Amino acid sequence: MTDKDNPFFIAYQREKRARVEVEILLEDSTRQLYEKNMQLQAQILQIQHQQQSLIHQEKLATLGIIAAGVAHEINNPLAYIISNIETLTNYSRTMLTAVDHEQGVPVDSRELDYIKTDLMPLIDDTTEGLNRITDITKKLLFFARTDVTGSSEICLQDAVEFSLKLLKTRLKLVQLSTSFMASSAIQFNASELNQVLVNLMVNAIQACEEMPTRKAIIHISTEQTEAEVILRIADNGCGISEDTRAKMFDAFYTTKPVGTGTGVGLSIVLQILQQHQCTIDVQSQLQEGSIISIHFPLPPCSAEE
Amino acid sequence: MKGIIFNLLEDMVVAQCGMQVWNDLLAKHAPSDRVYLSAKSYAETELFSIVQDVALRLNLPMQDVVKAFGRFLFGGLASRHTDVVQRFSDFTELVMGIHDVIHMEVNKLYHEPSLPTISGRMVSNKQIELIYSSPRKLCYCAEGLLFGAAEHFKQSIAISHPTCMHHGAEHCILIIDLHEDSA
Repeated sequence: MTDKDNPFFIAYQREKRARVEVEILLEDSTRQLYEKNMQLQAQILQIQHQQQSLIHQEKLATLGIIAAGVAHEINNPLAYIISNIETLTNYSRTMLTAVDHEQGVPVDSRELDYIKTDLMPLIDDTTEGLNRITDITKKLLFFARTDVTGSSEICLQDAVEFSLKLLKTRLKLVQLSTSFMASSAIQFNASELNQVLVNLMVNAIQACEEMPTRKAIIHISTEQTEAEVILRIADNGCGISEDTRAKMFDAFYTTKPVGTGTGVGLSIVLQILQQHQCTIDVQSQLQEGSIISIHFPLPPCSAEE
Repeated sequence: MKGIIFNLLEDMVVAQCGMQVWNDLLAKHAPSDRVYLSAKSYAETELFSIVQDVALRLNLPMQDVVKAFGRFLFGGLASRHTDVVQRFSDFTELVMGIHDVIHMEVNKLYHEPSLPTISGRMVSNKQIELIYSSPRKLCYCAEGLLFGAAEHFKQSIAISHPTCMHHGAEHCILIIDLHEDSA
C-alpha cells in the first residue's frame, strides 16, 4: 500500500493542511500586530516631539510673563550707569583741563579734590550695575535654553533662589519668606526644574493678586525625609475650588481671563514632574490660600545618608 | 532555524520518499518529542543532519540536495505568502527586493529570524550580481531559491558561483544570467 492509499497518510495530510491554515491565520495576526506596533511607535515619537514643542511654547509664554520684570531689573542699574557715565564724562573733561592747566589754563583745585574722592565710588557703582545686568541676562538665557538634556544633581535651594531672582520684580509687593531644611541634592533636568518652579511661583503670585485687600504672603520651604525632598509653596491667595482642583492639571484648563493664560502650564508641570518620578499635591481653601507640595524622590544612596 | 523550513523539508521528503522515511529521519536526528512549529526556532544542526541523511539515501551530493530543497522551499513559501510574491512583477524585481521587501516581511512574522545578508546589483539588463553572506553558508539553498523564483516567474536563468564561502571567501558571489527564452 502506497502513502497515497494509506488512510493514515490521508488523515495526516488533512491535519497538516489544517495546521498550515491555522499558522497562516497566526502569521496574518502577527503581521498586523507588527504593523500596528510600528504605527504606535511612530505615533509615540510624534507625541514626544509635540510634548517637547509644547514645553518649549509654555516656556516662551512664561518668559513673556517675567519679561517685564526682567526689563525693570535691567532698567534700574542701566539708569544709574547712564547717569554715572555722564558724570564720568564731565570729570574727564575737567581732568583734561587740569592737564592743560600745566600749559597755562586755570582749574578749580576744590573741584579736582571732589573728583578724586568721587571717581572710584562712581566706577565701582557702574561696574556693580553692569555685573547685575550680566547676571540677570545670564539667568534669563539659562531659563530660556532648551538644549539641557538629562537629569543632573541639583541643589533645590539654589534652584528656588534662581527662580526667585527671575521673579524679583513681580515679588516686590509680596511678603516672601523661605526656609530651606533639605540638604540632599535632587536628580532633575535643570532647565525643566526652573520652568516648574517659575510656573508654580507665578501661580502663587497671581493667586495673591486676586486678593488685593490683604498683604500678599508667600512662604517657600524645603524639608527632607529618608526617601524624599519636599518643596512647599504656600500662599495666602484666593485658593482653589474643589472643582478647579479636579481639573487644574488638565491641558488647556485655565481659570485666568482669556488671553492671560495658555492653560497648559500646570499640565506641563505635572508632565515634567512625572517624567522625574515626582509627585505633586495641592491643599487649598477658598479665600484663604494654597499649599503646593512637590515630592522629589531621593536615590537610594542619598536616602541612606 | 525557523520551524517553517523544517515543515517544508518534511513536505519535500514525504512527497519524494514517503512518510516512513520522514519518521525514520526524525527518529534518527531529532529529539523523540520533536514537533516543528513554523514560528519557533530549532537547532540548525537537526536540519543539516536530516539533509545529509537524505543526500546519503539518494546517493546525491549534499549541495545538490540543498539546492533542490531551496527550489522546493520557494514554492512552499510562495504558496503561503502569495501577497508578498504578487508585489513583484518579474524575477528581477523580486531578486532586487530580497533585502528591502522579502526580508522585511520575514522580520514582521518571526522573532530573530537570523536572515542572511543579501545585496543585489544589476550588472546589465541581462545580468544580476548577488552578494550572499551568512554564518550558515546556505548559498546552495539560496541558489535553489533563485531557481524556484525564476520558475515561478517563467524566467530562464543560469547561475554561476565564482566566489564561495565554502572555499574560504568572506561572502559568496552569485552571478545570475537572465536568458531571453522563457523557462
